[in-house]
Order: sequence, then structure tokens, then C-alpha cells
Amino acid sequence: VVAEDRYRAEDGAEEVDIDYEALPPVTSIEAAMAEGAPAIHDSAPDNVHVWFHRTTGDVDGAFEAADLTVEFEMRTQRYAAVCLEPRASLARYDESVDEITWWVSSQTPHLFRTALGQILKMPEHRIRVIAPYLGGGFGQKTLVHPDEALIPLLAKLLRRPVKWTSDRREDLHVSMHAREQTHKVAAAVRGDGRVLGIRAEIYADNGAYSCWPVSAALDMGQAADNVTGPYDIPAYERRAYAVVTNKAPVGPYRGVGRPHGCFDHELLMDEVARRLDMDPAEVRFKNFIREFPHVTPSEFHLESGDYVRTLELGLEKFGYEERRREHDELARTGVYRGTGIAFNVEQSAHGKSEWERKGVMIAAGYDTAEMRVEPDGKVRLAVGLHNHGQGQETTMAQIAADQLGLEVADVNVVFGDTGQVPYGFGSYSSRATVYCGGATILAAQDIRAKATRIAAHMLEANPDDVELADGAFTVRGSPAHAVAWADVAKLANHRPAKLPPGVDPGLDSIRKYMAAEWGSFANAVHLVEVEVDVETGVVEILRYHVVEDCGTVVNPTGVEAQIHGGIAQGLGGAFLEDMAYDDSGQHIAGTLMDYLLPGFTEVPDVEVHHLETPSPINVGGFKGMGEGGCINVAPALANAIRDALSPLGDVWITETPITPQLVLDKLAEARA
Amino acid sequence: VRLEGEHRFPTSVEESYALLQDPAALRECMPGCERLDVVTESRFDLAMSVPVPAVKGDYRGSVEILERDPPHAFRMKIEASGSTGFVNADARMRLESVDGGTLVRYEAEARVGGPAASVGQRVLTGISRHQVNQMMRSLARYGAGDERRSWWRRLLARLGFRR
Repeated sequence: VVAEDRYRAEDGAEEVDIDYEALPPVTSIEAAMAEGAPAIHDSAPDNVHVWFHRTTGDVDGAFEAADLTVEFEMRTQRYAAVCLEPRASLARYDESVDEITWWVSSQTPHLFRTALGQILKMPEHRIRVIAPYLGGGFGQKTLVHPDEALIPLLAKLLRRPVKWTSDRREDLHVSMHAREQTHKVAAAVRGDGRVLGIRAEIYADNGAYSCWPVSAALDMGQAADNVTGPYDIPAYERRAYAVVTNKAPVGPYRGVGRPHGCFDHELLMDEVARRLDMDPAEVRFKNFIREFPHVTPSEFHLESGDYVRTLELGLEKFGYEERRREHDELARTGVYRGTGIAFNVEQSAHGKSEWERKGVMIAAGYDTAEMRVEPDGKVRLAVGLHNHGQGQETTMAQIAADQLGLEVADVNVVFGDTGQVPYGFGSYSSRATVYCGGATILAAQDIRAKATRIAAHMLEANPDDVELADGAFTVRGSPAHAVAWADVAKLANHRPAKLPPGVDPGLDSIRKYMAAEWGSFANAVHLVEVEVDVETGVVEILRYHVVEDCGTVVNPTGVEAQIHGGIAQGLGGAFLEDMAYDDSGQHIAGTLMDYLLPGFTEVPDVEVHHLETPSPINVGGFKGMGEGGCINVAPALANAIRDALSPLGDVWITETPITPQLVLDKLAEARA
Repeated sequence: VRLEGEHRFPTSVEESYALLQDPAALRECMPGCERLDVVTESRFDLAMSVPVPAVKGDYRGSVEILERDPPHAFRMKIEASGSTGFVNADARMRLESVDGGTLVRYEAEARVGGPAASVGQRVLTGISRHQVNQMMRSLARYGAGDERRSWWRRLLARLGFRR
């Protein structure tokens, strides 16, 4: 229903009476995979969208050589990004030039343009996509949803601008959900704590449809890739299934499969520790990958890192030994406190070969920076990334300013408008700083070299003797002999006759940067101290420390803010959020009272400590870290709760959300 | 939503049995009922308005009476839908003579779907229970005679609203 204002549109929509013929619903992984389950799509009679089965190394041999076998089932509920700003779409069609302008909440304006071109059968150069600041993206806004794409179609049909804004109920109902998976994990373990091999069955409830452009394969595929984590586990067999159910489709959400993989390997480490009566930290030290580069069974090409140091620093800052001694004493007085560790390797900035390996048809294996020095010396930097709250404008301006000896305020960063920026893939999979940071460095180096040549000509000096710092070029050894950056910019743009022979006017460069072909791998450890109330099942977080190593840190505040925000989302998933459906397939979490998000009272103070192991394969040494904050949270908490309650029995929680009721039920089970 | 309960009616078991299936009584006593038209002797068309926030809206549908075993038991199926969702309820009523009156026991299973269900989860059971209790109390009063109708019903009637 299209109307002149929302009131009329809502009234009109109420008059629409749809007669549905109800078919038997399929609302869970188990129901969808059961013998004789109704097929939701004729094209997938077994209710599986995509599946794969891969084996690396001698898995059978590992299990034969094992002294013990660990088995468990890990479950994560369905939850979603729930952006502060729900999706919105506004389109205008200009008939005189046959052009569509589409303002849309998108993390990936150029990819939305490709999608719209296909939907409207319009050439891409007639479409301009503008994605202004967004109130959150988290992967959900990389996906083209049918409702938002309908708006430009209507604008073209009606020859009038058309706008639609999702309300919260619509947002919870159909904005792509995420995370719902069940894993069956078995590990072969040697008596000294070394994990020799893993077998994992991975099932993802992907809802009724796949998603564009990353497809239903992403969530389960990425989960399967991440099960071995930071550990040197040579043998790994995985069977992964993207299962069809009568629920909203599932797409990427911050972390994408990595929270599941991390949950698996971190539960495993603590279980090995318990079975062999070892310290959980010791088991991790025993299994860490120590030499780089290292290729994991999932073909992750880990370029650098020092996992031992990351964990050592974490234990030291957290006061691990003291905490554990203190907890033993407190338990005797009926106060149950525990510590939990969760370590993760964060796959970031997926490279060209990684996307190809995943079978993704649009491989974001490069990005672009277009830098131009204006006649007054100020810098316009247009980049293919999209900033939706990460502070990328600051990060990019810092990188450019560093390269050019300027102030951050001298650089204006432009993004999010296909009419204004060079071709790029936006921000997702923790790629922006690696790709656009790299491209920005390359473009700045071009400009710096050319500006130095012009300055040398102005100073009548040899370019090799000219230095750039603090907004001026000087001749080495004679600081009085100087020319301002702004004067060089003015001459380059406005006085072409004064340029050195053979030098083109202007100071600009467009550079593409194709980062490490397999991506870049950051790492982080979360250490948490909890107190569990054994009467109510409520878990209180007393202390939370993170050590992260994302290579070269451009902006420490930005990195810490990413971690804080990620932890808030991770806590939501670990404790509160549940995109529930009833047995008939009715979605029953339609308000923010039913779908409970963490507020500031639930989010603890987090101390972040930085380590820097620069990436040896990326320009600038950067590694992505935008998702890590939310990945380690649930396993750290599950491990801490288990540790806290260990004096009363083995309370092993391998699922989320960890509600007080679940804690009480598991505690009662353990005591029985 | 599962509901079960019992209510005491001052009327005899035969009168109560008739009352619980009487379109005029149901029209009067079903909260929010705006229209109840007899289609057949065991099927009525229904229009009702639910004023409770979260599930507020106009619903249209039908009431069907099955498995009659007068005056001891019957089954009532209600199906209604509107812009805010749908309700399918299946209720079994059992009547028993006690101390000159009747004890009516009911067991119902109601399925609520659509927006009302996605936004009203936390209140659905409470609202359903409240609506059913109100209907049963009103029916009991209706059976006992008009003078025992609630004061506001009587006020509305005097002011010329409804009836």
C-alpha cells in the first residue's frame, strides 16, 4: 500500500485481507531433517539449502591414538542484529535522465547498486545509491532485503519519490536473523592435553530463504572453518548443513559463524582441563599454534601472532592465580565465583582467494582510495568503505595525515555514495582498515612522491634531499630553506607553468589495494570473573579483561570502542536475546520487551589491553578486529559459570541463552 | 494458550446448557462482541472488538458448536481474525448439577497468531483468562436475570447504547 502519508498507508494496509492456506510448519533443525518432514521448497526435498563434507588430515588415526574422547552438543539460539536504526529506503526516479537515486540503509552501496540494476533491469551507471550514516549495520545491512528494494521499483512505476521506514516490529520480524546453530563435536585428546583431531557436525537453521549476496552457506560454512581456532589441531572432519525452516531467513551478523566455532573450541579446552585435572590456561598453552605462517585444516593462512603472549598478558592483567585462590576460599563460605577464558583467532578482511574458496560470486578481495589534494592543501579522501559507527572517517584521516605530515582535520573522508566515491565493497567482515587503509597509504605515497618532486623544483634542490614534516617541505640540513605544503598544492593545481618539466598538474591518486589473498588474522583473549547466585541462577560479572592483537593499531580508542560494543552484543546473545517462534511457526518476539537487549546496567566495565604483532603481509600491518568483541563472550561466560559452580558439581552449559532458569536446571542436574 | 477453569451458575443444568449456546446471551456477555448472527443452529457469525492494548483490534469470524451431549457437555470452536492477527480456540465444556445450580468446567486451547501474537506474548494468557472469566461471570448473571447485569451495562442500556 502506497499513500501520501503513513496514517493512510497503515489504514490501507489494515484493509488488506489475506487468505492463507496453512501448510504443516517446520520450525526447527530436528523437524526439518526428520524422516518424512514436509519439504518447504521443491528444489530442496531434504530441507537442506547447502551442505558440505570435508576432511583434512588423518582423523581416524587421531581418534585411534587418543587417550580420551570428548563429546558435546553446542547450541546457539536464533538472534539478530537489532540495529538502533531499523532499515529504511527512499527512492526518486528522474525521468528526464532515466536515473534512480536510492537512499538506503546499506553497508555496501555499490553492491546494492548491482542488486537494484538486476531487479529493475537498469544499467548500473543510471543508479546512484546513497547510504548516509547508519544507526548500526552489523552485517544485516549488507543484505538486500525484498521490502527495501521494492521502494525504487515503486518510485519508478509511480514517477514520484517513495519512502519506507521499517518499524521495530517489522524489523524484529523480517530483518535477517542470525546465529541459530547446533553442533555435535567430538575431539580426540592425548593424555597430556593435546587435541589431536576433531569431528564436527554443524547444522544451521537458515529459515525459509537464502540471502543475497553471501547466501545461506556463509553462516554454517564460517562456523565450520573456525572450530579449530588458535590451536594446532592437524586432523579435522566437518559436515555442515544449512537447513530450511519456516522462519525468517538468516544472514551474517557480527561474528558470522566465528562465535560458534569459538564456543566449540573453548568449551573443548575447559572440558579437557577438567577430564585431565589440568588448569584451563595450561591446556591452551599446550595446544596453541606457535609458528607462523601457519595453515589450519580449514585453510586459514595465519600470517603472524603470538598467542602465548596474548594469553600470558591476559592472565597477568586479570590476576588469574590470585582470583582462583580467592575463589577456592570464598566457595567455603557459600560464595560461588569463577573465572572463564575464551581465546579466539579472528578471521578478518577475507581476501580474494578466501572468497573464491567460499564460492561467493562477489568477492570483496580489494578496495579503493581516491585521494585529491585541493588547491588550498586540504585533502579529499574518498573510500569504498562504509562508516556506520566504527569511526572509520577518523581512522582513515589519521592514516592519510600520518603519510602526508598533516593534521587529521586537514583530511575530509567521503564515503557511502556511489556518485561520489570510487568503486568499493563497503564495510563488513572486518575489512575496512585493512583494505581502505592499505589503499589510502598507497595513494598518499604517490601524492607524497609527486609533491616532493614539485617542492624540490620550487626549492631548487634534489628531491632526495627534501623532507616532508608538519605541513612543510625542507631541504635536509638547512631547515630555513622550506616551502609550505599548501604552497606546493596551490602551485600543482593553479600554476601549471611553474611545474617541473614532465610533471602533470594536480595532486591526486586512485589506488586499489588487494590485501593478503586469504585475509588477515587477529587474535584476542577474554577473561571474565563471575559470581553465580545458586538460589536464583543469576550470573553477575565482576571483572572483564580483554587482550587483543590486531596488528598495527591506528586508533586505540576506536579499537576499544569496537570491543566494548561487541561485548555488549555478545552478552545479549549469551544471556538475554531470543528470537523465539512457537511450534506453529508464529514469531513471538515482536517487541523489545519480548526480545530483551542488554542495557548499560548489564554491560560491565571492560579493560582492554593492546598487543601489536603487525601483519607482515598487509600494507600498514593492519589486521581487522571489528567483530572479535562479540565472539568470545558466550564461551568465556559458560566456562566461568562452570568454574564457579564446580564445588557443587559439574554444571556444564553448552548452549545459549544462559538464562537463570537454565543455570538452576543444570545445577539441579549436577547435584542429583 | 491453554485455559481451564470452572464457574458456578445459579441456573439449573438444563438452563445453563441452553444459556451457554444461546446467541442472544453470548452476544450480550462475550466481551467486545459487536455482532453475533445465527447462520445455522450450531454456527454463528461473529464480530468483536478487543480493546486491550497489544492485541487491540476488530476481529471477525465464527462460532461453531459441536459434539452436543445435552445437558452435560459440548464443544465450541471459535475462529476469528482481523488486522492484528487471528485466534483459533477450541473449548470443551462440561456441566454438572451442584446444589441447585450448575458447575461449568471448561478446558480450552487457543492459538493466537499474527502481529497480536508477536507483540502481545507476555499478556496473551492474562488477557485470555480475563476475557473468559468475564464472559462466564456475565453469562451466570445473565442467566439469573437482567437485574443482575453489571452497573455499567445497565447504565449503557439506559443511555441507549448497545441495547
